[in-house]
Amino acid sequence: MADPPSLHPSPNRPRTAQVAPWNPRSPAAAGSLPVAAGGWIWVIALLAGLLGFWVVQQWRLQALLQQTAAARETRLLTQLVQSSLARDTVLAARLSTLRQDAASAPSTPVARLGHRLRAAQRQAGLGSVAGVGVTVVLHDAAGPAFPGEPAELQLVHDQYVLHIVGLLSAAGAQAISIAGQRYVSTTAIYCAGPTISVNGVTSGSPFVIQAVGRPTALLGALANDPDVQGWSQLVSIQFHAAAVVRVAALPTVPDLPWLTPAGHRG
Amino acid sequence: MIWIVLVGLALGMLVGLAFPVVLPGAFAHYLSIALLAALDSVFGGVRGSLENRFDATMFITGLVSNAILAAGLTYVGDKLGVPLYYAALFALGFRIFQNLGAIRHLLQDRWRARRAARERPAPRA
Repeated sequence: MADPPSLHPSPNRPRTAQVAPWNPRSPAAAGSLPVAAGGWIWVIALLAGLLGFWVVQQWRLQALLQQTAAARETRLLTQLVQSSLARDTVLAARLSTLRQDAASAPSTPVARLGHRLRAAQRQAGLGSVAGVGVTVVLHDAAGPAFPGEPAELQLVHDQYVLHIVGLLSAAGAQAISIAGQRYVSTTAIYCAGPTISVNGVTSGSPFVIQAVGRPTALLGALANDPDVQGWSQLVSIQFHAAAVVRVAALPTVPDLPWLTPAGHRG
Repeated sequence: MIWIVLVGLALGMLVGLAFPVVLPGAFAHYLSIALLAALDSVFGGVRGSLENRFDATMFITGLVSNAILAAGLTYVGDKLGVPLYYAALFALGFRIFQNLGAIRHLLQDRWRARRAARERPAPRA
């Protein structure tokens, strides 16, 4: 390698003194290299060929490398997408299988628990039920009062309703509603003037009591009860069997903050 | 005589284009730095020829040994965990640009000298 001379010739140095006048027709200016030995030109030509080959090869190699990187990235992404799609398919198949199992096999714990839950909900009054039963209609006295009869004897009182509900329960009624209110363990039935409040909902005469159960047992319990017989003289108490009695559900799940399962202390 | 070199270069490029395979990708790193060293030698040679002190043996040995040394040093640096690649890149690149600047200066000087030589016979105003 030639040792690097100064890039900028010093200004006081005449420029043309260093560089020979350039003549296009002189051998040096014809672009030819001032080769000391003529044989070297072939070596230089060979080296130039090698260099050209090398440059082109490197060019192609870099293009190929970039192409390879892009192709690899594309392949990786494709693989990822395909694998996630395959996993989706597998999971969807598993989901449908599990759903079928849950729906068809009653022996699974979940199905058993669901069965128990539905029974408990029926019992707790959280679902409306229908079935054969009786309908009892209590009506305030419509006819003229007996001479000297107090006015409150002409009204249907909460104790009539309580007694009839008790009779029906004792006779095996499986679901009872009073004026559309489901009778459950927390139900309160009490007088409020001429009206009766059930589950906090007040209603007036007539009061319709509906009970699902064996009609003959329910009707027999009502007909043979002396209280019902006596009250029937004061107010209107009518009962009859019905092929389909619909008993409404509790409108909301009752809030029972004081209750905790007995298995848990504190 | 430079046409021999140019023909050699064109032939080499054609062969490189037509070659069925490319150089192995694992060597790309070293081959690129060796190529840079060779190019540095080429520009140094061009400059030397413009300065009328081109030495063919010096050029050839410089080209070959520079290329080999650059690739070898880069390889050793990689093995030692010292990125000599960047040092070679910086040094060779710097020298290439330096040589390019010198070549431009020399060509400009020649052009001015030629114009001065052409105008000399003309009678002065």
